[in-house]
Amino acid sequence: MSLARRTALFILAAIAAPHFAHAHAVVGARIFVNTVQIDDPSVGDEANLPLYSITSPDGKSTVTDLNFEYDKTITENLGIGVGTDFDNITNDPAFSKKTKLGFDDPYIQLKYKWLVLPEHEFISSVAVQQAFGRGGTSGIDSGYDITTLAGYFGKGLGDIPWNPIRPFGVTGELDYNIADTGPSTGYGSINDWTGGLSLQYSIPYLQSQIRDYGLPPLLANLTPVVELGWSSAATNTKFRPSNLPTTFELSTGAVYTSTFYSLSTEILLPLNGAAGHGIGVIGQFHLYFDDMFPDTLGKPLI
Amino acid sequence: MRLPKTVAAVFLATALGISPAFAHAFLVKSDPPVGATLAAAPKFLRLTFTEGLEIPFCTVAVTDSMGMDDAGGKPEAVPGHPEQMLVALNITMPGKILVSWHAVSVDTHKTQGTFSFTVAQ
Repeated sequence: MSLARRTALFILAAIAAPHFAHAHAVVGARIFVNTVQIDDPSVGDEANLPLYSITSPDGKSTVTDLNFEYDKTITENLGIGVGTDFDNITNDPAFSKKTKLGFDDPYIQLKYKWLVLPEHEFISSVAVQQAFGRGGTSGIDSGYDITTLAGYFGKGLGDIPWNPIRPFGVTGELDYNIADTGPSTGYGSINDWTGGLSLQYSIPYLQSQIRDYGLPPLLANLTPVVELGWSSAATNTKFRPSNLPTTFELSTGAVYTSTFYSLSTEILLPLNGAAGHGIGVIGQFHLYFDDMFPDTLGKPLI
Repeated sequence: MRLPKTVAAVFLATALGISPAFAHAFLVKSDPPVGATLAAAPKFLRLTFTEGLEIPFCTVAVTDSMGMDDAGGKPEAVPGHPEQMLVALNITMPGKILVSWHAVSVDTHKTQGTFSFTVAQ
């Protein structure tokens, strides 16, 4: 397969990848902050305005992605999310190096928080998501629909009797993405696995649960994060799975959490050649409606 | 109010340190401080949260170094400070004191946590 074709396949797979709300979760005294590669393990009332990423998959082309998403709780444990992305792809051989601009697949997600153990700072959720691959801009959208089954967990280490590691928390996500059988892109519809892990060091937790160092507010509300994202083909109607390479990406940065909002910035690094050769930057701005408008917009419908 | 104004108002309120009316109640300050070592046993524990509290629904268990969990009384409101609760202490021996709190904010969001401080020998 030629480099241009492999790059095109990668780009299409990347922009067709499932998108999720990247929100925050509260379990006891633990806040699992919003992460950029994986979703958090809870439901909530919030908006992402927007996720902004600049990545260079092949070291030459640039993908800029603005994600907009709104999440709403139906009950305390059941939530729904809707969103889409606006992409700007430049200098890509797959598009004859012409700039492609438009909307990616719109999507809707139903998520259920099925287990919460505050004393162990543990939470888990499951979700089903439908991405509408013909609902965006032709050439930007994937051209086929994707149904995603997802599982999430979050575990704070606060119940481990060794203070140096108690501020740490881990979250994870595993998805199986099922493509429908109507490819319009010429590259086939692709079933794949995606997922990731995040390691978070909560300075707010350190200050309030272990030792108050009297840190200034800017530092006291900061949570450094390291994330590992992964994707791998499962089956393919036109190509063998090996044609879609496994990718690994590492991102690291920090999240500033306030009462009403959070701000985060992470640097995205490809860990293997299939994940690209350029460094990306991702930023998020989140509004927490459950804390802003607890009696109206921020409370469950039922 | 249009969304940009709402966002601006939120930023401004946060930047100025204005306490929001409703949200999850997280512990931001304790007196005695979290993790501190004290020369003498304190008479009171004052916990300050990010939000106003529903004191009747909040609990605080204070356990002394012998494992007795009756070293603290019931949480009481602090006049003029809805985000604080006060607990009378009866610490009779030195050692590590464990504080386990459950907080319910005024909009019924629940949080909980545990920390300790030490009374020197």
